Amino acid sequence: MLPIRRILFPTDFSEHAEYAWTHALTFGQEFGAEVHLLHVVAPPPRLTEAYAVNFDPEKMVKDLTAEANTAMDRQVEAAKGRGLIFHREVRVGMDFREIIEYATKHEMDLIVMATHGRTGLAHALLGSVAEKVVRKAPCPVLTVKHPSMRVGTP
Amino acid sequence: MFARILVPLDGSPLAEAILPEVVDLATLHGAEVLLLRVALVHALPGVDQIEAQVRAVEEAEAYLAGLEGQLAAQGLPVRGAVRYGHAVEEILDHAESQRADLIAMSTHGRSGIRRFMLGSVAEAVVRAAPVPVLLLRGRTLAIRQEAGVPAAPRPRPAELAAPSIHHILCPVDFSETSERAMEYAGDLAQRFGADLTVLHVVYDPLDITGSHIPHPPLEQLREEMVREAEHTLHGQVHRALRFLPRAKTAVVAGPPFRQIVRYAREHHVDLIVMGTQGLRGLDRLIMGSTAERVVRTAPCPVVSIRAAA
Repeated sequence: MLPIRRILFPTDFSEHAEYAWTHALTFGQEFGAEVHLLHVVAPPPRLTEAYAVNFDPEKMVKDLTAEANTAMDRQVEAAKGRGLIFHREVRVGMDFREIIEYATKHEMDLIVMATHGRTGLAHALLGSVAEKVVRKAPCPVLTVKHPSMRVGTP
Repeated sequence: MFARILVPLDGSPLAEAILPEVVDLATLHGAEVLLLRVALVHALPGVDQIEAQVRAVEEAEAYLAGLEGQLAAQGLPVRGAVRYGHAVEEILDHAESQRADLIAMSTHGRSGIRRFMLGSVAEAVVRAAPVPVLLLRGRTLAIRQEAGVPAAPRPRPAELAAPSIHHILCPVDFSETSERAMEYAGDLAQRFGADLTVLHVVYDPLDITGSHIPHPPLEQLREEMVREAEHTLHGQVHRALRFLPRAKTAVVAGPPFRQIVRYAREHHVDLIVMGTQGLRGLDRLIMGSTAERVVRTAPCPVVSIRAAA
């Protein structure tokens, strides 16, 4: 029988991710798997001193990380009572690279993620992060498309 | 809904990188694809201008004919056109005269001094186009520019009920990867108590020849291909999924990804499980892998399983 012990759920806290979350929970419960939430904060832009008078890149990353942790706490809290074990991590870096790296390092059996993120194109059918993860992931990837992104039947 | 998608090309692989996205959009919208290549010759003094122009146009026509064939083999209505003149003007004029309702093109997304042809053409088209422009930057869709249409649809708060998985579809191509995907799908079906259909799509010889006139030998060939595939598929499913006697098989003919997506839609599939080969190079640049295209256009979630490294 198929072992799915650890599920990775990369999230940017968008409504797309929220929708994919229901799938992560369903698979987690069905297989009794741990669910790992991962949020990746983009590194701050490198600005020259002239532009960076009131800009503290370290503080920006710290604030974003704290926000992400709060959001994850809320999400995990809401899913309490499902008898699942959750892990949380916030990383700084390039989103898809961190997702692949995390999945490899922690031996994820499945990645559940949304096809689109917070930023994106109306016409694009697959977001660039999901596309890269599908191409490079060390394990199967379940991509979930938010109903509003499904194009009507021709 | 788009009826005609205009794709300006300059002969570079970068420009062609938009094609997988175009193919998928055209399929979903039932749109016609208009390929356009603008030729312009800056011949050196002393060189025969007319001959250089004729050669440039002929080269452009040959180039488009190749791409037209590839797109037509995917079952898409496609028209190619070569125009002689300045790229931006010709693209805009072609869009208007052919009543295109979307322009899709690549840009390398550089700016400033390193911005060559494609970048500046894309930028000028975006500024002046009367219709939405889908821009693909480098290998990543990253910019949106729309005229006259509403901004990206904000996702509605969806019903966040737990998804129910009653019907799983596993498209296979008899490769090792797809066999792994089949076992994976079988396990999922058992776990969720879901029905499983293992689907194989045979290329339709009628599609490949582009012949839509009744052609008995080809129809016979298709029937034989389908029968052959049914036999192979049945044997494979019986061996690999012995634990799942409910597993069904199905064989259809046509362009693989369109048939997979259509089957999923028509049979109310809740989950697709499929292997991906991880194509490299030109094949991927132009068409993308079947799995990737299913991921893009499927009406339901998709589990993609990569070939073992």
